[in-house]
Amino acid sequence: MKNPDDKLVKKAKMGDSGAFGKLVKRYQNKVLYLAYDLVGNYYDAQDVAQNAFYQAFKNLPFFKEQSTFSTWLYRITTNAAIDFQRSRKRRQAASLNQPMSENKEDRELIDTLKDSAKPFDKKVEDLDLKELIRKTTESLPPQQRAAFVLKYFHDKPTEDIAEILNCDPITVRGHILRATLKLKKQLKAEK
Amino acid sequence: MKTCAKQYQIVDYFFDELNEIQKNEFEKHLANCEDCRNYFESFFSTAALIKEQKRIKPKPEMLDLYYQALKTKYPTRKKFSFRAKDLLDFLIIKPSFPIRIAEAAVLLMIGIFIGRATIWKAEPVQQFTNGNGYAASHVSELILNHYLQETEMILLDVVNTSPDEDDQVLLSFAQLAQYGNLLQKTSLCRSKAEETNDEKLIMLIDDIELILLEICNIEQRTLTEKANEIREQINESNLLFEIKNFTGKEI
Repeated sequence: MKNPDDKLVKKAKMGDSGAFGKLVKRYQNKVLYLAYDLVGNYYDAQDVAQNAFYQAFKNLPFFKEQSTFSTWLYRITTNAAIDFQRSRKRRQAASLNQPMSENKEDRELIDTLKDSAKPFDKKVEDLDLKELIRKTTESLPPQQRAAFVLKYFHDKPTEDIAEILNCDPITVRGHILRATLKLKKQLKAEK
Repeated sequence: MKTCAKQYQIVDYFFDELNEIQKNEFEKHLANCEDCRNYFESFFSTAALIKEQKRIKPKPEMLDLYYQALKTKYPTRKKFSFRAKDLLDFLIIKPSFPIRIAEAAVLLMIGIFIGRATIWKAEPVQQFTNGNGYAASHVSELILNHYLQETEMILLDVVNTSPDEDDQVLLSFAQLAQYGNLLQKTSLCRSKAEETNDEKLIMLIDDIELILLEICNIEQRTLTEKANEIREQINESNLLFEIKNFTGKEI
C-alpha cells in the first residue's frame, strides 16, 4: 500500500514549501509528544520538536526514501532529543550551585493537579507513578530510553524502532526488557 | 547467568507482534521453560502498568504558541513569488492543466499567424492579358471581368429598351447601376489601370464611367429625353464593341 506521505515528500523535495508545511502539520503533535517523552517537559520538548522540523527541512533533499518519512522524522526527533539531553546534562553540571525551585516539570505537575477531573488521591497516585516512570526513564541510557518510549508511548513496532535507532531488533527487545525490569525494581523500592 | 534464547520474544508476545504459529510455539515454550515463565510474569505486570499510563497534556496556550511558530516557519500554502525559477516551473516544467490548454491555444494562434503570413499568403495579382493586347497588370482578372460584364449587361439593357417602353424600366437600370456599386468599381479598376499605364484600358474605363454617371443621374421628369441621349452616346462611342473586344467575346 502506498504511504500517504510519499506524494507530499516528493513535492517538498522539489522545493514546494507548502507540501512540507502540510507534513509538519500532520506530524506536529507526534513529534512534540515524542520529544516530551524523551526530554521530560513540554517547554524543552517544544524547542526539540522545532529543531527536529528544522533538521528535517534542511536534510529533506538528502532523504533517500528507503524508510518511511515518519520513521525518518522519528529518528531525527530522537537524535535531537538525545543531543538536547546531553547538552542539558553539561549545563546542569556547570551550574550545580543554582537552586532548582524553578523546575518546569514541577509546574506541569501542579497544572495537572489543578485541571484533572479525577479524585485528588487518584491524581496524586497517578502523578507519583508518572513521576517514577519519568525519573526511571531519565536514568536510562539514551538508546534504551528511546526504545522504551517508542514502544510504550508511541506503539511503534520493534522493526521500526530498530530502524529509528539504527540498531538490530534483538537489541531493541533487550532495551525494552531491561528498562521494564529496571522500572519494576524502582517501583518495588518505592513501595 | 545463562539466559534462554527465546527470552527476547517476551516483548513481541506482550506487544502482540508474533504471528499465530510463533505465538503458539512461544506459549508451548513458556509452559516448559521456567526461566522464561518467571521472566515473563515479572515483565508482564510492570509492562501492563506502564502501558496504561497517560501522558500529561500540555497547556493549551503553550500548544497554541508551538503551532503558531511552526505555521509561521512552515506555511501549508506555497508563497507566490516572482522568482524566475517559479515562473519557469509554473509555465513550462510543471504547468497545471488549464495553463497547458492556454499554452496550446497560444501556440496554435502563432502557427496560424505564421502560416497565413508565409505558406497561405494571398497569390500576387496576376497580369491580365486578353487576346487583343489589353494588358491590365496588377488588376485582378476576376474583378475586371466581373466589372465589365456588369457594365455590359446594364448598357445592353439600356440600348435595347425602346423609347415607348415603360419609364420605370429605365429608372430601374439607374438603380441597378447604383446598387451594384458600379461607379466605385470603376474608380478601383481605373486606379489599377493607371498603375500599369495601360492607356487603352484607362480610356475604356473613362468612357464607361461617363455613361454610368449619366445613367445614375437620370431623373423622372427628363427620363425619355435623357434615355435617348444615353443610347446615342453608347452607340456613338462604340462602347459595347470595345467591351466585347476587351473581354474577348464574340459580338
